[in-house]
Amino acid sequence: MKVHQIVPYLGSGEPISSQALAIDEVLRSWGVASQIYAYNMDGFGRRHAVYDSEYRGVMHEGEDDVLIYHYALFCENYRLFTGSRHRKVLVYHNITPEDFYRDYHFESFFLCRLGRQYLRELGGYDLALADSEYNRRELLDMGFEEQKSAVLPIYPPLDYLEEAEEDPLLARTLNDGKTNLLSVGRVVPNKRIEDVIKLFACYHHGVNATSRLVVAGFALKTYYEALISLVRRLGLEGRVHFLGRVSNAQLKACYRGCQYYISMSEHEGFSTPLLESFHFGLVVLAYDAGAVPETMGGAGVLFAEKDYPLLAEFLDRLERDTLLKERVIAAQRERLGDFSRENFAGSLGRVLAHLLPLPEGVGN
Amino acid sequence: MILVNGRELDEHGLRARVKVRKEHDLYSAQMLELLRKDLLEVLGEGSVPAPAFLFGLRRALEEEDEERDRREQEGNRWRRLLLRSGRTAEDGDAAAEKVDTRPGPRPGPQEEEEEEKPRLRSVLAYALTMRIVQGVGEGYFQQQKKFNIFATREMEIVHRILSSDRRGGLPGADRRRDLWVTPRQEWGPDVVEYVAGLCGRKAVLVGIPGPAVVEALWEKGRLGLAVDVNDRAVAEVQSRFYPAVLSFRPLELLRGGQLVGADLLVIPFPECLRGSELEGLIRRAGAAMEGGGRVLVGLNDWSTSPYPYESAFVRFWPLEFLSKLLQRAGFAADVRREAGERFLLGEKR
Repeated sequence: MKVHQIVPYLGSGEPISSQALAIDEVLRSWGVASQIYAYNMDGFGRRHAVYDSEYRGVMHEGEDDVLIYHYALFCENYRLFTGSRHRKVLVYHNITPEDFYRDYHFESFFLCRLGRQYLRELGGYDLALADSEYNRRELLDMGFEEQKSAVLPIYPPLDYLEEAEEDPLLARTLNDGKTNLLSVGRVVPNKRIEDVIKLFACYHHGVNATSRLVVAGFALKTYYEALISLVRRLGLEGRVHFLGRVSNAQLKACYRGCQYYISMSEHEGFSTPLLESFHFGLVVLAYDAGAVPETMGGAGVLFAEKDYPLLAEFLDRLERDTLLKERVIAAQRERLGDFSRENFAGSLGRVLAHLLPLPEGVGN
Repeated sequence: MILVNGRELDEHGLRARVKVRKEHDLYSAQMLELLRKDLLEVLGEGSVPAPAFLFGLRRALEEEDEERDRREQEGNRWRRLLLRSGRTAEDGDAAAEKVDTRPGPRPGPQEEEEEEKPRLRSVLAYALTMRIVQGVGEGYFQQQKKFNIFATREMEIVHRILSSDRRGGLPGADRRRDLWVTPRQEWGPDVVEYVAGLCGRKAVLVGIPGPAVVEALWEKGRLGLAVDVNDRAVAEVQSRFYPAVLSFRPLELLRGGQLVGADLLVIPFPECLRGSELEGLIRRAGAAMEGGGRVLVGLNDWSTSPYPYESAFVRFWPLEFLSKLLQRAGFAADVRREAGERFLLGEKR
């Protein structure tokens, strides 16, 4: 008996890849054979996976085998899932509603639309997992059966950041006494980076000029250009830094050198940067949308209204009130404990218990 | 509603502070307007209708072609002259590179930049043409809203390549400015009183010598604008709920007409500004204060400075230079000493 996992992409520091690798590691520790297949991968991925075309050769063998299919965007390998004879587990990582891309990028618009259309066609599953309750609700809304669904939270990929050496140049730049605000993740319309910039404009122009905003992550070209226009209109040139895709070393320097993490995202299936910020002791201020409140679990700062001057004032209060800041950071650290490896293994055991013969004591 | 660790925050204090900042003009009306707008709406304001853009581009490309033809013709004339004198064009080019024997003044950095521009324009024209072809293919020209997104990129290219301020916009330069201006002396209460007394209508501060002077002018209702290239100085003023602007290009900021109606321009730290910036500021003040006004320039010098400035970053301009700038803008310049500080006061009646 073997567990096969198919992912669209396997790469270093990428949340879905980390989830697949964590499942692989836990399964192996239980003595269950496991293999990861990827549609695409980087150098890191090649050390842990093979291309998904190889699954074709085994998809009709071993009826006791289990296929775990990670779904986050439209990918041609969905046919492997529909055509497989194995018992099937779908892991839904959420797909951004296409409307966010309507004005910015046609290709992403259609890919998101296709992704959601094909999700409905992924029938014949034995179990549908979601990495948050919010995502599970989306599955149910799309017609998935409630009794065959469950939540398997993400195991946050923190090891790769701990192992990385901090980028010295970026670290030196960020540790110059300024108050640094951070946003990490793809710079795409649903993340509402323009709202992060607006909050920063209030903070910088009205409250504390010794500040900067760092935006780290791959940027969608048209959206990025629109953001640059806004930055110029708001007179923030030289104070808002778009770093683009960053290395692990640069990302670590960002987390170490910034004090506040800002999320204005209006659609999140699960947000790993929030947990990474918890880990590095940044105070997280996040807009209450999607799976964000669930991920934060009552820690950090959550707001329901984007009142930029008010939030800027609150940032100032956090800067001045060390006790409050420490209380927030302590609560965030505590929350991070819920995402430990032990808890993850326990959750995995519980959801897979009826599909796999697991060692005694696992899955209770 | 703001939840901190799951508990609702009492926002009364925060809202009161927001109110004070708004009343004290820390948030400009233009900024508050931008905050209310959607990103696409903001873009729409700054961009031109798609047909006008295409028409303008076509005209620019035609002009570019004409300019290239003209340059080629001039180049041929130069080559013909060289051949007539018995030298080859290659000799001439090499010689021209080594020793510039042309009569008249040598090109300064500004002129070299001007010479650089035609080449950049060619690149720009090519890039634009390719982008237009791609933009039409991707459907950006069929709908104005989509075109606005597309056009920002072109605006960006034009701004970055052709703007004369492109070097000033580099983050490295901004960081260096921070180094220039970090350790500065604050003005005492006597000096603040003297400066506030010089202003009858509206004052513009380019450089902030402590929050007291901003406070004094604000309380009298005479503060037009307080701008600085140093974020710490601006943050100090902000922390007392008075308005100040951080700008690495103060001259550009004053293009918005902030000097109109002003009768006092204060430049407390001329050593933190470039020569061209000083010249531009004083010239603008001269034009704006036709009916009379004053320019007050701080006379700080290396020997009296209590801070270890690095000579490479801060330039203490000679008195003669500053006086000449004032006189050229129509101000009578005179050195003054108030409460231990030396100033150059330019007056226009």
